[in-house]
Amino acid sequence: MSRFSQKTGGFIGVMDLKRLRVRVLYWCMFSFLFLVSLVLLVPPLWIILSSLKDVREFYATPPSLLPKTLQLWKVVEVWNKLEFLRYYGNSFIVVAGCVASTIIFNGLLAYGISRLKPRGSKFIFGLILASIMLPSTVGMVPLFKDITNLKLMNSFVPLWLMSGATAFVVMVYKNFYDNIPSSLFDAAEIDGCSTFGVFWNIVVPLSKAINMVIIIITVNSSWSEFFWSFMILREKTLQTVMVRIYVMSTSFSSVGYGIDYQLVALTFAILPPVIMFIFFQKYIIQGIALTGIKG
Amino acid sequence: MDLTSVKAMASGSKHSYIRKKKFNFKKDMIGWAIMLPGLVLFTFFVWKPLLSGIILSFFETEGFHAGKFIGFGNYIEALTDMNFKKALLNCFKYTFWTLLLTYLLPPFMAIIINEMVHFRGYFRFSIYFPSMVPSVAVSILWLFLFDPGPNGFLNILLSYLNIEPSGWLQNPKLTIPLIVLTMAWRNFGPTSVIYIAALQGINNDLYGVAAIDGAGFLAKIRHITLPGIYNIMRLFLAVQVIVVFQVLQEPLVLTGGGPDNASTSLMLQIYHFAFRDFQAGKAIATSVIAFIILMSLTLVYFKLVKANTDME
Amino acid sequence: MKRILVIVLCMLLVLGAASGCGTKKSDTVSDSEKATTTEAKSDSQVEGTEDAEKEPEPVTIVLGLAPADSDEAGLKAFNSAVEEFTKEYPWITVKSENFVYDPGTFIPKAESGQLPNIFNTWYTEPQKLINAGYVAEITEQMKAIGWDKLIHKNSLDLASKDGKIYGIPTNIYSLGLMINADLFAKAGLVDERGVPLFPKTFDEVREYAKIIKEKTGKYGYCVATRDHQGGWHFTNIAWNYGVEFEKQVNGKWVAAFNSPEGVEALKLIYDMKWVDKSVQDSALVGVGDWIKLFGTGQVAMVPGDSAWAPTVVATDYKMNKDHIALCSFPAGPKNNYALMGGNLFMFSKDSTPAQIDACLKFLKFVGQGPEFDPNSVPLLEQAYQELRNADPPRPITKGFSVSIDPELLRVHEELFNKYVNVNIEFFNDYYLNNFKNLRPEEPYHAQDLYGILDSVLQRVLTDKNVNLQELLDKAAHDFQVNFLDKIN
Repeated sequence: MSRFSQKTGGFIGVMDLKRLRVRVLYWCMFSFLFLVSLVLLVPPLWIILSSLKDVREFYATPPSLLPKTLQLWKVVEVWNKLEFLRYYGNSFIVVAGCVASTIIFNGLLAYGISRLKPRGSKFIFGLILASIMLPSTVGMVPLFKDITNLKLMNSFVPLWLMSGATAFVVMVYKNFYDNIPSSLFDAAEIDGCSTFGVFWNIVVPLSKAINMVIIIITVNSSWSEFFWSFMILREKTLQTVMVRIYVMSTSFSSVGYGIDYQLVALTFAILPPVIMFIFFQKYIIQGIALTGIKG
Repeated sequence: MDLTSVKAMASGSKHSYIRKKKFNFKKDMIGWAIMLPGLVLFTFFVWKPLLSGIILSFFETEGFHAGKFIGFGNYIEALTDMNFKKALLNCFKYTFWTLLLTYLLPPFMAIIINEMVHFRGYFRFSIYFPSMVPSVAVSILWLFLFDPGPNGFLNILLSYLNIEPSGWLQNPKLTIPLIVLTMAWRNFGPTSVIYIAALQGINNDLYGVAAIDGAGFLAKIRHITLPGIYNIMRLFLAVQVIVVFQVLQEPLVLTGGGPDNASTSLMLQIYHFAFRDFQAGKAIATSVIAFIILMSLTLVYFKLVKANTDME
Repeated sequence: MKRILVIVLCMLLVLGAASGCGTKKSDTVSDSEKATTTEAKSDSQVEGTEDAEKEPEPVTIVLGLAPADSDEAGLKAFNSAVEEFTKEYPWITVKSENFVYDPGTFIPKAESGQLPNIFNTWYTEPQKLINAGYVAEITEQMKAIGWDKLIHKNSLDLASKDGKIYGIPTNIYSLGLMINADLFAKAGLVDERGVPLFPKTFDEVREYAKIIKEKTGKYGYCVATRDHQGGWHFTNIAWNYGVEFEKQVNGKWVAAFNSPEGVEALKLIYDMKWVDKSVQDSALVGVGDWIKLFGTGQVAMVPGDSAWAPTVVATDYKMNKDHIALCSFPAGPKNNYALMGGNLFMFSKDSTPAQIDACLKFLKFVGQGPEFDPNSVPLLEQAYQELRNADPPRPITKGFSVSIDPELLRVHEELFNKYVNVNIEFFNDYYLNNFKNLRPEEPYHAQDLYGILDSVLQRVLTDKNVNLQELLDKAAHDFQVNFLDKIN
């Protein structure tokens, strides 16, 4: 049980874990989490694996728990037919731009509201908060008109910039900046740092963990976004994976793809964000560790 | 060091907010300059379109363009619509169940995951995974599980326990809680990850100090862990109520608002007015009414929170 | 720090530039577009009045008619048709896209001029589209080539408003009853030649549904309840029970479906659900759901028309085409109506007369217009062959053209007889009888009526203790107050 000795943080301390009662509590919590994790993981994996069944078995009632038929060739066929490599490329470009734009624009805006607080910034925050209370339906048509009037069709730029105006992210950043101890800023100001100096030398290094969280969330949301991509990227060569999948699921053609094909395609579609999550989540922890300042 | 000072350290920053009240023109300018790019984007992508939409709600609409000015005509239409009351009431039901199911679970899970030394990465992944599964697959999944026939997945499980098959989503009493449950399952991930990150930010020395003082687990949670995530919980309470009040996708796909409008929401009504019936004016008027309700709720909430913080 | 400044500056520049020249550009473009519009107008007038063979101006059209990417064979056939067409008419440049009439994306596209010049939609939509100003008037172009006289007047009226024509109806269908012949055979409901016994009345529907449930364990009849499907089907049932949904009393429109007849029609559904237990368990059934139930062999009877037959085979469920039969809509105690619907082509509001002309030429060329064109025969044959050769083979069903061009009707009939690949006896009852007593939808707020009826049906299927009369009273009241009173 050497792992226990490496425990840092949390309300259960290393010393506590030497007591039997605490260990029992720990393993109870562990089992509980494990059960929850099964509830979260198994159903979607089951439905995804079901896509390899023959489609008639897929819809059989009662449903079969374990597949009786297995059609692995579907995987190859879908990969080839849908030219995933090409659309992965487009999706990556969209996601990369969205991540950059989300962090820079929302982060700066939140920093201004939280720390610099120029006169009127409270009102701006009120506007940002208010904008998530109005259904996006209200502005959708006018926005699309503006985008077409500016000749921004078939361009990634509006998709990128759009994520630079995400109210939720501004709020999370503001909340984070609000909680950085002011002593740090005061010290820097006494040292004669300019506003930008403070931002660059103190805020940016401190924000690593929160940035990782935002990256993870943005990768996921911009990867799975299809409405605006579908509306704006009309050229087939520019389309993203999710647009292809949306087109695939809505074409009521008499020779369309079956649900099994769609699910195989969806599996391909979620691999990149899954991999990115596994990669980035480590940095949530490391990000904190690296800053050397806690709490 | 006693617990109060630990708590003060934990909630740290709040006290040293006192800033120089002197107006500083240069500083203001720098502040606005930093915010400017974000403001430009918000103006173009959010505020201007919303504003043009709102203006439209005072006109007779043909499709999404304005005809004759009719003042509050669309609002009267919206308020007297036969489904308005039911949809509004349902929105409060959605909110109630969300507070019960969706809101408290993520911080709870995050705190437990934070205690783990085994499989921590796996747990974080499993919590986040559902939010990465595209909604198409998720809705297929739920419709499978909640199939109301005796051959539906969950009903087969019930039959092993000798329980009568349930109508699940088609039972007017269950439909909203179940829809909220599917939303909780799915939207768990992002909020949990933010809570986990916040928990990581708590100064570990505090726990050590508290332990030396002889504080038990519950005391540590109450005085160190919870204050560490208090700010986020406060924010998310507002955000989640705002989000669920506008629930659309789930009832649209899972029940279409049925049975007999038992799960319809204001947003679903709005969606139907706008895109199915081509009645943009009525749709936006309903949106604005929903907005006013939400806005008042939020204002009251922030007032309460502020009163609460001031008292401490 | 410098980097941030640089980024900020760059952003501002880019934005400024984009919005600055953007607006300018769009201004000039729209100006030039206006110019071409007027030019094209004068041009087509010349064409109409003088000599059509004069050097025509080049024109570009966007056809929203291409099949989906997944339909490789169909797409190939379509592209070759386009190629042939541009050889014949070298001044027309053709772009095409797979346009799906999807409510969620239609309005933003229509509002910002992103619609293709020509697209396909169905009979419930044209009045909505015309009122919203999303479609172009085509009266002049239709009259110039005489198509206005080649289309059945009832159908053309559905695509017209105040005497102006906005769309080209192509085919017409009537609601019938789709039947799973396999389940009928298993339940012994077939004659000596294996043809299903078609229910003639709703009493027989109820009786057969009960037999099927008892003999096969599958559902006898599917009651749609969602996405306006339920109300749509139910109006037809109710008509045959003698219900009048919208009645004019002293010059005012009155919702009159809470009559004894209405209760009787609803009682049929109630009895099948709660007494016979012969309808599906789900109380939320939309288009996708009933296709699924029917296509997977879970249900033996569902209202539908001949256009659905290939879809059921093609969609995920891969139903055997030889298990599908179609009969005319069953009669009730009072009437024997069949609800009429159909498809039509419409044109985006920004289409110039020259573009509309070019689109009409294309329709004629591929045999989709109401006028016979010998060129179109090979293309139609190719389309039939695709259906026959598809995997699994699609059932070839007959569409009913709205054309009154005798030559076109003769050729279409011949082609159908040449390629038909199903037992015609499974469909003849529908083909021969179901078009005799057609009835269009209710004249006012039909879609809103369907929405209200959907809820009524959902209630009947979920609440065993429901009071049918009270339920209908409330529904009729809602419909009266919210919709009919506004037109009175």
